[in-house]
Amino acid sequence: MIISFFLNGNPVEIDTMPHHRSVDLLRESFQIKSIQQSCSDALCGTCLILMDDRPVLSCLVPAFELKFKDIWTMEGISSKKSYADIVGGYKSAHVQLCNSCAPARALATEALLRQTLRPSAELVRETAESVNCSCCSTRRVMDAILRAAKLREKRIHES
Amino acid sequence: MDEGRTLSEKMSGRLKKPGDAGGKRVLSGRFLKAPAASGRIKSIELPELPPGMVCITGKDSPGKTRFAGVPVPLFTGKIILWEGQPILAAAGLNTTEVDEWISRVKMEIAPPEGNAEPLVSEKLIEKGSTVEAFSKAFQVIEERIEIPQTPPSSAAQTVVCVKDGANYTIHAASSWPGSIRQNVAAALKTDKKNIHVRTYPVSPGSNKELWFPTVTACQAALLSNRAKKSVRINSTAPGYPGGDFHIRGAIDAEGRITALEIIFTLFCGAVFPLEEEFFERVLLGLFSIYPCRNYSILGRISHEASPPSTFGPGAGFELGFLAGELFASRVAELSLSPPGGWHRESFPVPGQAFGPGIVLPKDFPMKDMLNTALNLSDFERKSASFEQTRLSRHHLDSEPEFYRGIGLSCGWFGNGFLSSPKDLGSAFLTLTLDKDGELTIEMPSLNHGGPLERAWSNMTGEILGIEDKSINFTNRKIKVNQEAGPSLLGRNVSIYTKLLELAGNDLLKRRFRDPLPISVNRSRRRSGNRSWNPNLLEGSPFENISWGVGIVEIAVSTVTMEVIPTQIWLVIDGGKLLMPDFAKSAVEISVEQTLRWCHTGNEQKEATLVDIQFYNNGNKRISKDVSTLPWLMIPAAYLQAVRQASGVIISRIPVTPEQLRTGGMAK
Ligand code: FES
Ligand code: FES
Repeated sequence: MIISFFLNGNPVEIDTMPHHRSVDLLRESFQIKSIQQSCSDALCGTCLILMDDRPVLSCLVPAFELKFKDIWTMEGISSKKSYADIVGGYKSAHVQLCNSCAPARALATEALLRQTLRPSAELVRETAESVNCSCCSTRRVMDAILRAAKLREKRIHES
Repeated sequence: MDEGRTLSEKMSGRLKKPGDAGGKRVLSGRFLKAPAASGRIKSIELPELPPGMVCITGKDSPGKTRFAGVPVPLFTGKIILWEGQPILAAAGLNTTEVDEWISRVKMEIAPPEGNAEPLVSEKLIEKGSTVEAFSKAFQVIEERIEIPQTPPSSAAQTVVCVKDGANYTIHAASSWPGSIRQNVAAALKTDKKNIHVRTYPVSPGSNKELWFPTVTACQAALLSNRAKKSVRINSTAPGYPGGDFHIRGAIDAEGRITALEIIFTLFCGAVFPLEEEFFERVLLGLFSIYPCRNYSILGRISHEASPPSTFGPGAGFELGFLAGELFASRVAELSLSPPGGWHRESFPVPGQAFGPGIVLPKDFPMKDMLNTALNLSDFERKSASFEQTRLSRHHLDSEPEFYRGIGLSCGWFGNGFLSSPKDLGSAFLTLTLDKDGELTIEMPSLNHGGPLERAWSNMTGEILGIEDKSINFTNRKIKVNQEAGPSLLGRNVSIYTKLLELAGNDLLKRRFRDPLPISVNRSRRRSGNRSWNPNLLEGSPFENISWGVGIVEIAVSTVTMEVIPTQIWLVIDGGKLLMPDFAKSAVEISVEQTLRWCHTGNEQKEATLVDIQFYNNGNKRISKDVSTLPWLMIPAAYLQAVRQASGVIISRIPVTPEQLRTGGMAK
């Protein structure tokens, strides 16, 4: 089956089995290294991608569902200037992230910032908990998200 | 390495992870796992392998990996040991195709013969005369606590074996590259010089990556050897052991513990490499800090048909201390002295050993630390008033919204390994200053720009007058990689910091004397610990000791019976702090994790206030682990506080509202 979609702003096309997992397809055929398939079961969150601006777990998305969608991963998001807001937020909150969930945390944060720059505490907590990791402090991650939102707001005002 | 740049690379996914190794042509490996916890595999029928796909089973690799002499099977033999045990592995270019092939494997499994009783080994440790002490006791006090096993983690860890001719390079997040090298060479029956290991940072504040990355590495290497191609495969980290503890203590008229009788069982799953080290740490934790010369302890290790275990954050201390400190707090309570005062009076005095016979360091700081914690938290006053409220509860006209409680616990953490196998103790590093003034630090485990690495970089840079950006870390050198013991249990902080300081000073001396490049090696070989007698439990078991006092205040809702930890005070002696900001955040992370361990069923919405004080005892030289201490201090203090607030003797963590309800928490 030939599937075409937008990947990080560029139109792409691939011939694949329709039920191939998106996480594998993106890693194997498009060299998207920021996502990983850790649990294959909607538990860990490390396979998070943005699909039409919504965060989704790509281990649950069969390839055919990518058709005509606008897909963003950290490869694309980090090439934009506004990525600095996310890094700045996490850096100033002194969050120690491990290598495997750091991209998913950044992506979840970006998804939230695309939705709102004044998120409610509940939404911030949800975003912080969307990546299941037990090794960093949820409180610090929440702080980092709020700091990133402030930076993004400032950037928008200044431009 | 610049912190912002590393973070930016990490979050963008550009910082290399093991799974990124090997490029496009890496085969994807998948396991077929045992569908039941026990049974005998009667037959197994493999469908024909499509071109480009390979498979290995227990028959192709009858070998076992070894960790300090302890064998772990790579694949299920005839008998299934736990649910999820790998039966076979297959690899191919397309993951979906591999999954599909595996789903067509036919197996016949017979039920286990007879009752699958857990395999239990036991050890009796005795000293002095408990019988006499109990016969003369002023009081006999008992305590019981049950701690369930922590299940395996949900996230997988990727290992890649990159094959290049006769050479195999393993990419893995592991704290013990030496064991990967040795075991992969044995599994492939090849020379160690053909095996290279590239390690990646392990999860912060964890000891879990001790042995299982080695098993996965061997499985990946066997597939890779068969396919003559590189292979990537995922595995999940095992959980941590649980335990069941019964403590009986003889107490004299002054409220001092004169003898202990303890029976405990550790539930370790089907296999648990290095369980002896774990067992001994549990034992030491049970005594906590209080001297005790008469004891009789029966410890059991139970192997059930459940997934294997690995080291938890305190590698056994977290279980021992929870039981030991809970018992101590019960003694304090029943001896009717103020709890803080009881602890202070029960600490060892100079010249006396602590616990079963551990040499007390000259700069034992606990009295000062305890006073600080008591003052900061206003402990004695709060404890008395909460106690009063509990006792007079039935006189209240209406029930308040919350009952409150406060608990106190002391703890210490032994940095480094306790047991004797020599491959656990050794540490190596090399510093090389090249002609362009670039310094390379070679050590076994890397933490790409992590806080510890930055601290080391600053420290070495200061000694040698070199800028941070000219300092690089690597772990390529064979010797460094091959023979060093695992980098965990505070070994990195305490031992490698010391080695680095020594090597830096050596290099400084030679710098203007010898031509560049100059290399300086520093090593620490510790075969057995001569100053520790494991049979008598006497001597100095660890490199050095970190100390801590923890106080936890909680509120229990009288409506929902949820426990809300409101404030925590921690006073910690971590020696010279390498990076105070990060030390604090590492402690905070442990606090959150520990609270999750203590209670479930009520996702905490409000943040707990955590007051962390680092105690400065003037000892400027030694750096010690700080992040493990919350695991040793918080649980016992938390449970005491819950017991005080609720009036229910909770004997099992995690605490749930249901336990309080059925325990009869009422007015
Ligand atoms: S791989 Fe874990 S949630 Fe998708
Ligand atoms: S930051 Fe990755 S497991 Fe915690």
